[in-house]
Amino acid sequence: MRLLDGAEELAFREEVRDFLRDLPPEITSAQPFGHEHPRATRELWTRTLARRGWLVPHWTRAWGGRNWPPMFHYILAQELCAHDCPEIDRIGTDLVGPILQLVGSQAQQQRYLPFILDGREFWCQGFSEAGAGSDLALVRTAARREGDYYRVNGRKLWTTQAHEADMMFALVKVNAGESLQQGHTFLLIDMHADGVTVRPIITIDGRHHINEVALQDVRVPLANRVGEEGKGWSYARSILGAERMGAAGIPHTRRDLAHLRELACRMRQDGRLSSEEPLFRHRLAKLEIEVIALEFLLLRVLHATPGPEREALGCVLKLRGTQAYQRVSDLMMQVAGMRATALVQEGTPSYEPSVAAAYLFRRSATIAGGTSEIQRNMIAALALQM
Amino acid sequence: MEFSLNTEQMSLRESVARYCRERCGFDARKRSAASAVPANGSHWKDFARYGWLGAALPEDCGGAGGTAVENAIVMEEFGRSLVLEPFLHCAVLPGQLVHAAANDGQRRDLLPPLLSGDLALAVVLDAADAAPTGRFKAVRGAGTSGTAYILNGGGALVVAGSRADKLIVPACTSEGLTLFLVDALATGVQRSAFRTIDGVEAADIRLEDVGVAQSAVLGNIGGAELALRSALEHIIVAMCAEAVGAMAGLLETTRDYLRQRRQYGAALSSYQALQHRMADMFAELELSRSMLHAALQSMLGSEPDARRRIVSAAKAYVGDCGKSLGESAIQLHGAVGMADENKVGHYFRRLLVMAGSLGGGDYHLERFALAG
Repeated sequence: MRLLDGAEELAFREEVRDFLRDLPPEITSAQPFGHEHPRATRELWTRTLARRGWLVPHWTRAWGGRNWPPMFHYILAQELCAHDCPEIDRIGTDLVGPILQLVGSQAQQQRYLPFILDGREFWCQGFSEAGAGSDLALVRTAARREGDYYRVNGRKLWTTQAHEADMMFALVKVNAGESLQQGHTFLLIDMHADGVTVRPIITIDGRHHINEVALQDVRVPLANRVGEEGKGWSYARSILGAERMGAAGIPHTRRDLAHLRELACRMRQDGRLSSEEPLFRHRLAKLEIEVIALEFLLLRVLHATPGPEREALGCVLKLRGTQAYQRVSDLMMQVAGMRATALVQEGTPSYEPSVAAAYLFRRSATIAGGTSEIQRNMIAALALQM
Repeated sequence: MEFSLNTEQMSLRESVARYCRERCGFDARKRSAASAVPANGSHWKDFARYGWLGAALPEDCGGAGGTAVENAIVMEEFGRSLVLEPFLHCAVLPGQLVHAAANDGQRRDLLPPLLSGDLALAVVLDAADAAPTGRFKAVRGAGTSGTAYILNGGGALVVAGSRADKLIVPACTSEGLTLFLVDALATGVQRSAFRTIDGVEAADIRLEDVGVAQSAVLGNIGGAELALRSALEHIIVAMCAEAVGAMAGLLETTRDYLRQRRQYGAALSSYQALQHRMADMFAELELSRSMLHAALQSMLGSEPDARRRIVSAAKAYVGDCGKSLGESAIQLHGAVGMADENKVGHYFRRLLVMAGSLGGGDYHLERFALAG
């Protein structure tokens, strides 16, 4: 058992910090809490990271991957997050990229991977539908073969960032005569194609993150099918573990603790700073300890050999990580009080509009990416054989 | 970073696990825990023979040359098997304290018999305390032989205090906290033995005008603070490992129960509400294990302030999780969980006692918050 950072890890962390210190101002200008950087900045950031070789270190070597020890991936994620860097397109880098390298055709890799690497194309994930959330067996978006194309009809729901996306990684079912094949098929769908309509869904935070995507007689080339018909789920399984760990949001929670402390050092109740309130300090301490435990669990999972035990631990990360992620914004709400709930102009001094928005939107953290209830089902099956 | 054990560590774990399986069965434990007399100590001699008592002490002291990691390996297995022997309080705490505080001569006198199982040492701290709380005072005596200092005080619930041959007493002097080595049979030493609810031997220890020679001072006058802090960090982390082992054993016991128990035409393990409860318990166990890793990392590092902080974090977290998991396990066992003869209650009581030992959740949470 070796638990201390070696010289290489310490050196790498310094290297990342030096890189972040030298970034141009248009990338580093921090957004107010809860806001995303604009698309142009995200694209610039993607290219900056790619040039450094740090955009997709987990990809295959042929496409820019590095042979890093798990600790380097962890350090990079932690430092980028702590620095409030723009969000890269994770659907592209963590879902589409890896799946195309695993089972995609040469042509698909040549066409799509470079555009992920230079930030030119952003992706969305079209899985859920009105009738199919946790149970994706109920997906009804249908693809009917017609010559060199599929004719695709259906509606995807809760699609995050579809309004910004150029491409959709879609989970569909191919028609088999009058009925649908039992297995899933993955299609790469051009969001600018005829028949694709994106309708915003405003969430309870009053903002636009997610959408409904209607697909009406959309023509998708057969060449845009990833792998074989009906085998989609077997490809997805290998990627889902990584998605689950990302969805746990642990570097984000660590970063948000800093925001929370900063807020607590500003906000007063009855003249006393929140940071000096014993009850608040107690709650903050409990949360900080939970985050330490989560970080060490993440490290353990990153170093573990693949298998049911590792998968179960990934589910624990998702289950408890999302709860901690919510809890930080919950404490921010308590600290900010009514200052958080006033709907005033952004940037109005002494009001904290984004705190409520973050709290409200983060209720989805325990729902998206596999609900907490599903995570518990999986833990019971994988770790406890119940 | 490497979480898997190396060959020696795996070998240590396997030896301890096998010993526990073969020699520390639950029925024998029940009989021991119910008995008014202390155990015959045969296990202790075995622990000594296998080198486990000195697992985390340097080789030049007669130890095995390991670290807090090796103690954690031993204690996790002991926790899983509900071992009653006071490894924490009679090996880890006194061993680390003597190593940190004593001068060379004293180390040579005390450590070999401690590690061979021939000398039973107990540190007179209350089981609930994570630091000495002024229960014992020492004043300079008349100076005649045997009375360089006079010790007074009491009200300490000392784990394994009744079986100790010698006591290490942290006492306040005019020059600061000092460690005194006291013969357990010396005049003025009063011990009344009992067991705590987890079956562990303890004694209430009181000192009334106990006279000791100058040579009884362990290390330097007034120099006990740092050594005691270090030794307490060792025992706290080792206790967290015991709790993780106990939680793992309890979770497995509960899972096995749910699988075989049938009501309303189905095994309890098929009911989703119970699967979800068990999943939450699994999360508590594995996050506790990760907190233990965080504490072990701090023990291996060289930053005392960070170590103090993380050790408190681990104790607060693991203690509370253990109690919570124990409560859930009782609930999932139904009435069976309430019967003293069943293992689940024994695990629960041990986890409960550990939650309050060496500082409870709130105490360590406060210590963590203050250090932040």
